[in-house]
Amino acid sequence: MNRGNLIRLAIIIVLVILALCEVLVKDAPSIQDSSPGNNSLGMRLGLDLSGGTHLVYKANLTDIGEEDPADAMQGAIEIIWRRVDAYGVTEPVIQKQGSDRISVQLPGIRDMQAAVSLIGQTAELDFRELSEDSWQLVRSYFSEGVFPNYEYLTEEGTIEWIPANATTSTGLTAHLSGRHLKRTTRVVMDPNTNEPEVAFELNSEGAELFKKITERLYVAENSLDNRPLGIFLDGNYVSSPTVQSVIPDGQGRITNMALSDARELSLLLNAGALPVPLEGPIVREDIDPTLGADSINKSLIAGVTGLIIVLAFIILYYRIPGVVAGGALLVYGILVLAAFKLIPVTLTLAGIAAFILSIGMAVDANVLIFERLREELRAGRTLGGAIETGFNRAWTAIRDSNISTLITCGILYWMGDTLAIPSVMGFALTLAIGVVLSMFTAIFVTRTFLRLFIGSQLAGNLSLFGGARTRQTSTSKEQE
Amino acid sequence: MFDFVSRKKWFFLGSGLVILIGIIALVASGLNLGVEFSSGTTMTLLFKEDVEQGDLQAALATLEHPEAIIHHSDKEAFVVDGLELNSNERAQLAESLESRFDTTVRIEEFSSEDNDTLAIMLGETADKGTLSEQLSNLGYPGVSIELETLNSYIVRTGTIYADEEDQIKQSLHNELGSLASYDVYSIDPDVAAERVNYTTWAMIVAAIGILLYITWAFRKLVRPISYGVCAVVALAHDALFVLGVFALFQIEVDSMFVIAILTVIGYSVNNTIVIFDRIRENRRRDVTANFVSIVNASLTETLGRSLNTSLTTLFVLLALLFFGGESISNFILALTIGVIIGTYSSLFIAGQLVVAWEQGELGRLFKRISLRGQQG
Repeated sequence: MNRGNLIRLAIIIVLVILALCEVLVKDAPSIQDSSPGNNSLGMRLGLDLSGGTHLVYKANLTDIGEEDPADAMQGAIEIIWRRVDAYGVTEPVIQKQGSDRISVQLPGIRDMQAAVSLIGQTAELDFRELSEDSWQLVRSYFSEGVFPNYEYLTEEGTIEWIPANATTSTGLTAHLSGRHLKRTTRVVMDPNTNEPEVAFELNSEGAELFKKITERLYVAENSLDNRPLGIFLDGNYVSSPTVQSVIPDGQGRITNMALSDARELSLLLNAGALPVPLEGPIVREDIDPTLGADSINKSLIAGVTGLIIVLAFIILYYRIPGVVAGGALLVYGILVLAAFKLIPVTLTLAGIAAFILSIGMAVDANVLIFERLREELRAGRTLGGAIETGFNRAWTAIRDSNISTLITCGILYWMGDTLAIPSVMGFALTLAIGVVLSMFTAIFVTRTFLRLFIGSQLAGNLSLFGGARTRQTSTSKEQE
Repeated sequence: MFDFVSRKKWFFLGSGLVILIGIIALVASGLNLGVEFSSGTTMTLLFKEDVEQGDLQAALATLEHPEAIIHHSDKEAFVVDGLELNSNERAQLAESLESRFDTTVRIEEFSSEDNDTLAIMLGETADKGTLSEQLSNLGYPGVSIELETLNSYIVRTGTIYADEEDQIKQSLHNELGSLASYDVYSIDPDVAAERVNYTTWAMIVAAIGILLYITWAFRKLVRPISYGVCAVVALAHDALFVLGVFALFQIEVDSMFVIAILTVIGYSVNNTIVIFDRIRENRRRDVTANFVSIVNASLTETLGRSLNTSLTTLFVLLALLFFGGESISNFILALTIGVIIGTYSSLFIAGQLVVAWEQGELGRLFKRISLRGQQG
């Protein structure tokens, strides 16, 4: 046994120990993100296994003016992120897809209606006042002792609202809107009516505008001449309280809604408005986790069953090299799992299929080598010579076939990424990792393990390695 | 030694015929495209009261969805009254019940005035008393539970967007009583068209990439392009075969199928390259040898590896096919067919095509066809 091979063996052992640590320690480091997954090994599960909602929206980029579309998309993704986070979704995946689409994966969320409403709204809050004509009309109703329903009149188009503008001390004229809100909006219960209200706070510019506007709309205490201030969300009427005093501190409340709506509005206002309106969702998927749970267990059992048959077959067919391959495959499995967690790879059903396939490819690399080994032994080479020649001859085939698989993986990944099909991306990434590591195991691990037998007792019986059934004595003296 | 090469005409003829049948099926009935590629919406509707399929069809028709295709499947469910849970609480309850009953549990909410009626569906049968006991252990005592067989329908329609879905559910509720909807899958026509487009391109780009790589890898041989082209023809053979089988039996095609096809392509090329690699080696070793015997020897020498690899892969695939989950069975089926046909094409088509090219038979064949075409 030579020194070079011992060093290789040491490297393999260290690698396996490191990989085992990565796999077994729940919050072991990963390159992209440190949040551990929620299952026992700390792997991240894809939507098809965890269940949840997948939505794809199309952004309407026609009205963004001079802003860079990519910045607007990034802004929208950040806002969606905040909303989803505040809603309490763990491990959401929010990605830009193509130039104008946003794909949102919400693991564990099955209430699609709520999700659609949470994400799709632009949530642009703005304050409006009645146009002079409309106010005169409303005021004439008041004189007759009628207090009209503003919501109804607004929907009927009887009254018209115009933006509530004011000029600040710095001479800036601005429309009071959601961008003047501090992120401190919350739901409170009105102590008198026990109705939910959304309490908001404005920043200094907003407070100044609010003061000026309320000064304008307020005349006197309990006067019928006090005008209403309309509050609109995405152009839809929400409420229009009559201004009962000048409000100097920029604090206000939005009334007229159910508790669940109030909660949603407060969440939306805190997260901020989307910089671009979203259309769709153009893809909606409600994925049942029970199907996934069923599949993952059955597929794993099936995979393990298949693997045992494969190992039994190789060992029966190739004898000692077959046992070596079993060891190499074990190393391979540990390395792949570690890589999955390190990158991290999100485990999907397609990914599991790719993993099982990549085991097939790892086996294939070993089969290629052993067939060559067998040929070289039958051509009369010594074990050491046969191992080296066998590997060199098998290498070109392993290289070329794996590179062509990697080409396919690259194209699949690009396709899955562009179309936001997570299963396709998961498959491609998993298979690519599998292919690269299978090349490494076949060439490095299998070879190192096989070399351990050079000069050993077993090397005396070459038939155990696939050679012809004649005893060769020269092998024991052989040097590598 | 088995003579792989001289019988090549029979192999070509056999493959040609089988693929022709596949192409006829593809043209005549097309692929059975899932929602993913053909656009539309599928969802499961679970009704609390008895609802006839005809009534649902009629109701959907008045809601401007006469195209709806409806599949009936009854579900046994515990109908729980007087339990109002939000979606998070429902998910938590399902999880707790799953661990107590050690089976899959799904909980859906029926549309109603006060949102307090739920359907609890268990993967395995349980009795009412046990469920009631478990619910009160979990902090929900005193709810009324009935085990019922409910009408459930899987509905496929043209694309329905979120707003319209809410309206449809409301109308169906008014007309047919309380219902729950789940497993919604909806794809907009633009997205579906784009998926078909990109998928087609992915296959073409993959084929070109493989062709270029093989041509480069075999650059030291005479006419390296013949290896690239023949490998791509062999993979097209395999892809067409699998597509043909799926068209013939109208098995539904989804994105997992695309993955399967691309994997089959990768696998087939894998096998083909191993054989070509041996041809490359044998040719370099003895440049004077007859090409037919080189190819024959290469096929024979790699036969053990080809069969062993295919067998080991098939062991895993067959295990997955018979014991794996139902949701991946079409995918595994496509892979299994693909692996078998991929092995066949590597052994009986790819190398033989290179020989035919080398001997100029392909050129003669095309000439004959074009001549006949002109005469006809």
